[in-house]
Amino acid sequence: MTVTSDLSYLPWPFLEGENRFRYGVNVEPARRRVDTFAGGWGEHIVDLGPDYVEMMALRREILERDPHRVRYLPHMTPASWDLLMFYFREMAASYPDLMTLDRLGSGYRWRNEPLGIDCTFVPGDPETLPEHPLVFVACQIPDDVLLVTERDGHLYFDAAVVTSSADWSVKFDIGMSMHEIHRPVPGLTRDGVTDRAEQFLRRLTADQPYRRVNWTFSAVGSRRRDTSLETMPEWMDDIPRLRAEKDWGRIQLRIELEHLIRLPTTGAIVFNIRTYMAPLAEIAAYPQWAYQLADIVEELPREIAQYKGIDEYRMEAMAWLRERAA
Amino acid sequence: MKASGFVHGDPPALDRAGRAFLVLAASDCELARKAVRHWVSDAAELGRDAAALYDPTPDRAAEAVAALRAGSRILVAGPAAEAMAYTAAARQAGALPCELTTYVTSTATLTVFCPHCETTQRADARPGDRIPCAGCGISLEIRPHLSSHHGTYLGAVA
Repeated sequence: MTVTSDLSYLPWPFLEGENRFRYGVNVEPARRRVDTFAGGWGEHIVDLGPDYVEMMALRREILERDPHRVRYLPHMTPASWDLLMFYFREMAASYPDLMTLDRLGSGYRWRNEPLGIDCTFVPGDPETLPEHPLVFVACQIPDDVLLVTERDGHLYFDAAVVTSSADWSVKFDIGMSMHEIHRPVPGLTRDGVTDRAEQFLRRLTADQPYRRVNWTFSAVGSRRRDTSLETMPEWMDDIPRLRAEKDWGRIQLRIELEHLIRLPTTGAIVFNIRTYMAPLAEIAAYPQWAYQLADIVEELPREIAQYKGIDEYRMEAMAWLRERAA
Repeated sequence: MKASGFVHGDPPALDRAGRAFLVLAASDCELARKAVRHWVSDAAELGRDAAALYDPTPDRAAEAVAALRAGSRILVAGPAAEAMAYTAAARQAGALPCELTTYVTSTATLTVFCPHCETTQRADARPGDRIPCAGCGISLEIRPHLSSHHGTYLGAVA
């Protein structure tokens, strides 16, 4: 299945004028439009994008092949309903021509026109949905869905539907604390970033969702978003091939737009991730982006470049990008 | 924070704030048995109850943990594979890291999860080593990433 390429709605991860990168907790309030050289992004929490229907079909396909990409601990069903109500309300407000949520007796009527869904349900009553509320809502939003809850002052990853992870496994990470999950990221815990991120999430209130843009380089030279650890045998040979062919234009800047939301009823925290792919060949069409990316990638400390998977060929790839953009 | 609470070397002391103690231990390990004797006698000195379960199945361990009241503390002792399994069972039954102490008596054997076929296996290996997956046969590299929820290390195709 192909996914449309279009940088016009790409959340470019760097501010104008920035020319170096270090890890930080770069959060900002959500639902604010940002204009970019190619267009803009960020007006809504859910970005349907031009390929919404295809992305949702792809998620169903992946879940059918590998149902354990859905993971939730036994106590997470109320939070799943909370998530469903939050996102249905949010999407109905953002896209009133495509989606509506109306009160109907003791329940609601939900219509999602692009996906051909028109149903009624009663929140909290599992009999009124065709599947678990977590799956039902996750298959209508393009983001990977992650829910964390707090125990004894720390946050734990307790529920998820993940079909586009970058080199990690939802099956392995479920149930772990934020500290355990991030131990492999160089310097993140040592430098206190994990602690600060956890503090930030613990202090979130239900009235103000936040967002954060994260980036890396994809482990494949195509728009395939599912570079999960589960499917690694399928994609692990692609970058060696790309390097052998010096096909640098295929390298994908992988941008992850995270939304951090305190759900109103259960207090569970949403950590959803919407993934965007931008091949160097297309970034080259925007010289300001191309030069900025090259500056940042060439300057990266080795351990960060290694973690982002580009250390060994970054100079050659960025030289290509500069030349192509000129 | 007590991220995983795995203690090596000398057996850790009993958390004296505990009101009752549950001990989960491997029976064929002298160091574990010795730690259990110490813990049980320390608890008795404090006038607290301590129950020891040897070689519990994960279900039995989870059941015992689920029956505990607030204020209880769980102590685990045994070689890495067993200690991690008991810890995971306790965590999945709702125990918090601050309620759990895990004493790892040896690290010769560990448990590895294969994300490609979902098989969990034991191996006489260390993080960084390669082993064949017992489920799908793929060559797995054992990553240093450890889950105290599952009690396993992560493997990935080498």
